[in-house]
Amino acid sequence: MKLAWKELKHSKIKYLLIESIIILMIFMVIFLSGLANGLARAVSASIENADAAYFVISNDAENMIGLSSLSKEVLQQVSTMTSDNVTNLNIQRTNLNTYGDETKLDVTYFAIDPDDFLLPYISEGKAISNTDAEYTIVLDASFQDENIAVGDVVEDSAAGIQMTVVGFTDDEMYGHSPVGFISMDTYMLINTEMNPAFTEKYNAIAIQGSDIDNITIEGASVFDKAIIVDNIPGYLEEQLTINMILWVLVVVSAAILGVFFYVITIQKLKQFGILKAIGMGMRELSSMITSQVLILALFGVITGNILAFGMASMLPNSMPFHLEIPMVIVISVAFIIITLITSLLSIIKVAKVDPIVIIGGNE
Amino acid sequence: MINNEYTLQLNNISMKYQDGDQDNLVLKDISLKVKPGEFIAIVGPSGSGKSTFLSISGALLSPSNGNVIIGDTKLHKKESKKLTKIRREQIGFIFQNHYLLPYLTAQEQLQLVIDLNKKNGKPDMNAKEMLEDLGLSDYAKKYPDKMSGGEKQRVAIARAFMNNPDVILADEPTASLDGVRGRQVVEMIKKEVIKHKKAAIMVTHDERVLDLVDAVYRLDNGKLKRVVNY
Repeated sequence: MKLAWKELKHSKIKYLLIESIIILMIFMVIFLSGLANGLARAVSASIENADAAYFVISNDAENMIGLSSLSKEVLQQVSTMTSDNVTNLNIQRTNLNTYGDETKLDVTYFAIDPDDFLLPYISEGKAISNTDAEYTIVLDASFQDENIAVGDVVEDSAAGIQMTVVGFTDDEMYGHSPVGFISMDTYMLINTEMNPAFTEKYNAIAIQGSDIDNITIEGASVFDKAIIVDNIPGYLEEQLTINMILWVLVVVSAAILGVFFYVITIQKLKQFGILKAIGMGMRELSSMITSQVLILALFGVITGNILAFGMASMLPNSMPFHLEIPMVIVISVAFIIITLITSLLSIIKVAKVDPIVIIGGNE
Repeated sequence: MINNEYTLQLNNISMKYQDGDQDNLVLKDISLKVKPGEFIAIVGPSGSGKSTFLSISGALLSPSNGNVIIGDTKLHKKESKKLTKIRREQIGFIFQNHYLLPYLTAQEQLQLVIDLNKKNGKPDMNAKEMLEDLGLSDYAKKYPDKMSGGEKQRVAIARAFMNNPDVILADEPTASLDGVRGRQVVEMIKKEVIKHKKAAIMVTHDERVLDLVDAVYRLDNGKLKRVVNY
């Protein structure tokens, strides 16, 4: 509406100050959502990235993939019960030494069948199966920050088995620890080195598609990926905490805009009285207030987003920060809706103004 | 049909306010008729009910008894939405302190009223012509904070005519101006009232401008009496 815009333009300084607060608020909220997602990814990325829709895990694991244990035969059984591809997965957290260095590096092994669908996207070098080296590993790109390059040899600190780094993959994390992909053979070698009685068992059987209706295994059940992710230790707790902070901030910052606007409205009650006296109805006045709030909120959301995305592009790789567009859109829209709701406060105040106040020269 | 000889008729208006347990009678059985092109003044001491009288005439307030006829609209206990429409289409207000909107230029102040009345079927007024008529051509693009008190009041006069109303109501239009400027402002109201054939009522304290109006009424103790010699 013309009138709404003309007023904003006329009181530039006042509204720009308010706008700057909105921009900072939105920036803060969007940035926090990036951190929340970043942390989520640090816990669950490798499961999320896996090209599997469902996982079979044992019932005694209480939905925790790391605690599950399935015998070799289950893989055979599952593959006969579904038309989809299935493959085995083992997850083991341990540590690595670089060759000739005592420093231990935290790592989580994803032991997979190198010829099957859990093999990750290789961003540099080769996949674990495509080399001549005996024992090989594909590491998350964050190991490059530790000066590890393709062709280097790393040693499993516990078993002393040496593996050649054949490639790197991006964004592969599990439980705040970077992931190294190894073949099932390497995994078996490492574990029998430490415990000669070790027998081949799997943490989970991954199913690529969604043909799961006929899968019935004694002592095991099928879960979809979201449940597996939610039950990674710490994942849900972290997400609940951060999302709580996030949404409280969204509501608070949107309410602050509403309150600022209410204060300005109170300062302008006489102007609204004039407009009412010359015959402007509540419909026109509400649309004037609403469009002003909308202009302020929209401009703030857009600028705040630009700032947040600009900032994101300058952050180091190791920082757990990941902006998800759908989440950003949800937050932005929620912010605008909440500001519109709080602007009702101003509208109610204006509705109560009696235009008679301006007769008789009341100051 | 209502007799259209008068554009403003107040018939047996009474107004009482609740004051504690007692009813405070502010206006007692007041009647007044104003013809198009007629400019009348209401004088009276503070607290005599002038503001209440003007508010009732201007559809800001409904009287306790009696009725108001503006143009061919009879106003009696109307709900506020209809009162808003009547104010928008049939009444032009000139307030004591100009009450222009700080964020609109002179021209935009007038255009706002024209825009509000786009759909009522009456012929549009011309904002430029009006500003010219009141010697404000140079101020069309200026905001109120760049104008003097007299200039602002003249813009307010122009605004009051922009909805092509039946009635012009002026609330102490000279209160914030010195003698010379005050007189100029009332002269301008008179000129436009005659030119556009409006019925006009001015509430004023200013005895020096009473020679410009067609009739003077005194409101005292809730009663309205015509003053013969002023």
